[in-house]
Amino acid sequence: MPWSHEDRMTIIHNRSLDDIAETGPTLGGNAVTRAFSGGSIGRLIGMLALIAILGFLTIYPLAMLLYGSLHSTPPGLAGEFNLNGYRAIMTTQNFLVLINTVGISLAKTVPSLTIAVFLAWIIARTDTPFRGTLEVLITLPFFIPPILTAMAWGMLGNPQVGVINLVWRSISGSTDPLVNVYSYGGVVWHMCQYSIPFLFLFTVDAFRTMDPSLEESSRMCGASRWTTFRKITLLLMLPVLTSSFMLSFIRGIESFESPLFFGLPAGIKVITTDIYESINHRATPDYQYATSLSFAIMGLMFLLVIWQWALLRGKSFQTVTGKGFRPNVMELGPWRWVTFGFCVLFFIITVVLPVGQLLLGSFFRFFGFYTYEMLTLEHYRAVFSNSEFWRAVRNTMMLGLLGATATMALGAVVAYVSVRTRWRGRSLIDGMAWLPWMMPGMVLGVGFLWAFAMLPGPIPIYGTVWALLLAYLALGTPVAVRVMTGAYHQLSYDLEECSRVHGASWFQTMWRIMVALAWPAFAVGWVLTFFGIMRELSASILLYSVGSETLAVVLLKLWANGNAEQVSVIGLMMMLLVILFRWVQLRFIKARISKL
Amino acid sequence: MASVTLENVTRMYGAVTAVDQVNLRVKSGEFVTLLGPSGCGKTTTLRMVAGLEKNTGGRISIGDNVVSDADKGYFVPSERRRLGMVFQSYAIWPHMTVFDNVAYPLRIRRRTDKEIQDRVMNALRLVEMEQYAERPSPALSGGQQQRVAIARALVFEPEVLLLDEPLSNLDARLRTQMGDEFRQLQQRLKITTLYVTHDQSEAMALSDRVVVMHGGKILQVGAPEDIYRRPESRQVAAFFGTPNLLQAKVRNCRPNGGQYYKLDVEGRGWSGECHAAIEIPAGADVTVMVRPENLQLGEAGAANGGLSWAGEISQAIFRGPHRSVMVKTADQTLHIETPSLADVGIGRAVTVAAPSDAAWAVRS
Amino acid sequence: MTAAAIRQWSRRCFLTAAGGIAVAAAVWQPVQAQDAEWDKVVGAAKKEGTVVLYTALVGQPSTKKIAEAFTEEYGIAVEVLEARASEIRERVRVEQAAGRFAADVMFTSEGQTRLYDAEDKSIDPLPVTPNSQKIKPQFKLQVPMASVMTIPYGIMVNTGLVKPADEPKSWKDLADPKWQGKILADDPRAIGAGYLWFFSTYDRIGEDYLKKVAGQKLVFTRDQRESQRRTARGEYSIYMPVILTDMSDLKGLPVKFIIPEEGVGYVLYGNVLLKKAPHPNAAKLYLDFLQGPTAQKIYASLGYGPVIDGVTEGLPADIKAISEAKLYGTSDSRRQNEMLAKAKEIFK
Repeated sequence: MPWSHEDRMTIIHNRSLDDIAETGPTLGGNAVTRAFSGGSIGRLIGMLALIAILGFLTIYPLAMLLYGSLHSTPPGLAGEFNLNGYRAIMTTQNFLVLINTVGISLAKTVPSLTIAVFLAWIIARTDTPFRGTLEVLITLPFFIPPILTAMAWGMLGNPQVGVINLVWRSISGSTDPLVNVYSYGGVVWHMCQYSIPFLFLFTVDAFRTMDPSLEESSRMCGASRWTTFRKITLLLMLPVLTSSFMLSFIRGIESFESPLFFGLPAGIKVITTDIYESINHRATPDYQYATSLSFAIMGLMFLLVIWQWALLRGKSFQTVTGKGFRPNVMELGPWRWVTFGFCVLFFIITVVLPVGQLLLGSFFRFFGFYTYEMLTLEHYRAVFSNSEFWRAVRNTMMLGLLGATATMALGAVVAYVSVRTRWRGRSLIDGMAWLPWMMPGMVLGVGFLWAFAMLPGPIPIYGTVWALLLAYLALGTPVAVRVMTGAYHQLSYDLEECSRVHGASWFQTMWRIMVALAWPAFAVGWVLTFFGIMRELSASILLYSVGSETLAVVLLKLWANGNAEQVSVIGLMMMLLVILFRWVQLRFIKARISKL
Repeated sequence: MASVTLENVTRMYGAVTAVDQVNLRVKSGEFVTLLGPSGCGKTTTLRMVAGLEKNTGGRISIGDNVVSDADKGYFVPSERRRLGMVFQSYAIWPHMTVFDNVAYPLRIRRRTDKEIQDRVMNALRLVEMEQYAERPSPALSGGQQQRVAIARALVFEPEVLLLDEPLSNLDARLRTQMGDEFRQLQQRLKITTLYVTHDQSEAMALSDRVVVMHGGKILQVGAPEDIYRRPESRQVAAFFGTPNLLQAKVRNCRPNGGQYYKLDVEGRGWSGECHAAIEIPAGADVTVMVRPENLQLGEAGAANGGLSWAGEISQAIFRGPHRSVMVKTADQTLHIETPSLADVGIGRAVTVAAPSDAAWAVRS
Repeated sequence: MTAAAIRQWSRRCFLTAAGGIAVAAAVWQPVQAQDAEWDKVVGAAKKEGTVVLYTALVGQPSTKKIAEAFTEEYGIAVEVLEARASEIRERVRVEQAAGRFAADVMFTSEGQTRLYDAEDKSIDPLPVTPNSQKIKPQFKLQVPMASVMTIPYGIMVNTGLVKPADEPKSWKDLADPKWQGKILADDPRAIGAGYLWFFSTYDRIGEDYLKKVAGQKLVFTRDQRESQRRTARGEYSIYMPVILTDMSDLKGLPVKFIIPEEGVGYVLYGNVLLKKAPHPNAAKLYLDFLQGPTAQKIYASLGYGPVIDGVTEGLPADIKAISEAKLYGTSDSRRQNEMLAKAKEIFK
């Protein structure tokens, strides 16, 4: 049936299901379902439960760290309270390093977001051929352990014998290198390998589920495609764009591996290097300094969160209404091969080049020495026969499956309360959900160690696998909440209200409507969280107990012993796993939402 | 089927009163429309009945059960009121098929698959959408989605059916068609219906009774024809169509032998007989309402009982089924609707006449 | 021979023999008593069944080899937890402060041991074990660490870029201007191989030498293994300081490992006994085992410097050379902050 063009635009009510009431006679359900079905006592209990959970996961470890910053010795040692830590960080040098760090992060985040949005638009809103496959391929770089891509890019871009430079020299005949990856450019480049796919994953579904009539009405008013994109599309995506910008920017400030690998030889310093040194390179680790510096950074980052709140307050970003629509793809004509080419080029540069190195090198005894005598399968054999590796895989898989699901569930609930209700305290839990993201991983790991180990004896967290699980839950919640918030902003209230009127309780509505409609976002968040858990090291190495090594710890051990090739084999296996997961995820989505 | 009773229902947003002391009783099986301009409080009232908003004053009951009592602090949440609702935006869930959308209220209540299958297909048959059952819902047109929304609201036989401007997003022809179809359905099922719209012709065509609202208050409740012909105030009169409203003074008032009163009135340059609902003393100011379709154009000088005005034709607009003619008189320009075949010439002197039963007076 | 001479001789024999037996008996008695004590320890250790080892040397295959040898010898399981120095240190400190005594033994460096003892106070005095008496005197320490092995550091060159005649033969040779811009160096401003070299040469050669080397436009890294590879691939001519024992891992690559004339920088590693160890007897046994010939042979065969004599026989020549290399100098954690500051000053 043709879609009637005379259907008028929906008036979107910016109301929330805000009822303060006492419970009437209940027909069933337990205290938990009643908590969210209305009733001020029930709502209070629900809110308190959320605050308690988030408090334990985020506030408690941070409180330990705060103690550490105000006390001359870490918890457990006798000492005194003073402000020496905060005084010590206020140096001109630190200020300059901070500016440096902010500069690098901005230099990474802004281009990454631009490219990611462009890619998201190509995949979600145009008729570029092979979009489905491209979507999976574009996001692959995110899932490769950074140390591997760092090594690969080191081999490709070092000024002396880097492959790129060798090719350049043979083509152009000059003796100067084309690129030097050990520079600011190299640091930013490496960080972009991760931020572009990350930002892409965040934004692509927002593009996909937007009602095209919102853009069409702009076009009918006479605005060009570009103006429409600027004034309508981007503005409607504001929650998603600002959230992902902030996540990526903050991650850039906290970044450690890229500046260490590519920046150290060039003398580039960032804040995390300073923090790392204060812990690792003093006779007595100076936790007071490290935590003070971390909190100072966190304070600055929190200003960003407040900025976002102010920006998004009161506005409606609902683009998914119950009116239903057929997502409209823009026909590009011959230009679609240009966009296709762009995506393929992106894929080649960010995936094929580094992964190709890894794949190639895994079949030779040593990376970079590709002669016939060096061909071998010994690395594959070593990995497959390594029982410790397989044990770690089992541990990490279990932690990942459990952890990702729990984190996304928590994130869905927190995001719902934060975005779709007017309950008191929702800003509090929203803020709490941001906190772990703003602490450098190495310091947060110590925070968890202090928090869990210092609990009263009988509580069986430290020394068990629960310590890891809870740490992962805390670390993953920021992403989970952001992903779900972005999705919820887009859903009109009618869809929810209609479910409630027709008899569904809060939980039923949540599960059948809200999460179901936000399913693409939920799935993306799940995959991001799962692989975040697979890669997490700073907390894992401080919390794991004998026999419960995680995959990241095993990778560290192999790398520390110089087995870069074996680490590559594992990295390649992880990539296969990613491809599988993403394929399944996208299948699921296609089955639930009408085809593009 | 249940009745709906609103007693002194009020809704305040801070200092703003959106709904002010509304009293209404919808009988079981009745189709009642809340009619009024934007911001008059009709949608808020509907949402309070639905439980999507909480009334700050008064009491709402569905059937014999109180569902909300502001003074006692008692409130039954939406999902326990056994209602069906059709939203202006249809609120069709895009991630489900037509079947799943309609089946939702039953699945929530954990009915058996067989029961669900039967009821859903019945509901779809009622709205003539049964062959679309397996379609993904976003693939339907507006009118089709509307039907699905109606089927969904009816599928578990709710106590009351609520509709919030459900036809406003359809084109004119579809609107009329769907409205009529829905009315037939409602009469067949005898389901209590509370309907909200700003479109007066729709309200008149579909309802058993119309509730005219303005500024949060009810202006008048009555059958469509009553409200149309015998409005209680100038405001209500002006809401329907484009009536001619003339100022006049009462000369005489006497009962007409039925339930109404006959008045002799005199206006500027005209006089005659009209009717009113209440006794209005002589000397009082009244507004006399005469609807365009009840006025007749005659030759200049012709006169009969009732009211008449002398004037000349200033404008004539062809509107298809009828012609709108403007006649300038001593008092004001009158608007007349004549059959389109009638011959009108601009500037012709004419007499405009209305029988006294077509003239209705309300106190000014 | 006269009969008297024979009688005299046999009497002497008898006296010598008797005297010898008496002396032997006198000596043998305490040894027997000592053995009996030790047997009790071994018995108790076997009953405990497990020893929990925390090691700060991450990813070393020797850890597993030795653990397996220990288990084979005594039937006691070894549970290993690996983390980097500061991480393992904080874990131990926090665990002890919270009353969770999970670990028995920690494998760490001499410098770290000093800090644990003086500042964290997390270790017990060293017990006397049979093998602890037999190590070379220079490895009997003031701090309570049972020395196990030394890790030797030297110089690595890329044989494709550096001709044999030009090879640097000593630490001093690194100051030669011909190496300017060609040296990849471990960062001396951070704890690690580079710092170790800085410390040893500062004391023994002097600040001027270091200032000269600072002028060589060194490129710094902190990843020992990756840097070895990069040099092998031809990015740089020299990498220093290199862990000499990695030589066998890089066989086949165009690199040469050089033992400097002055000697090798080294870090001494050993075991410490943690306070309130849950398996104290197994811990003692483990400490002893690591200083015994089985474990020491394993380390020597990998190229590490052993702490007892006689275990380098029969090793291939290049491994033997590394294992027996002259020890040049190591760092002292008492002067750590001061020396790090100096390093930062000299190598901006």
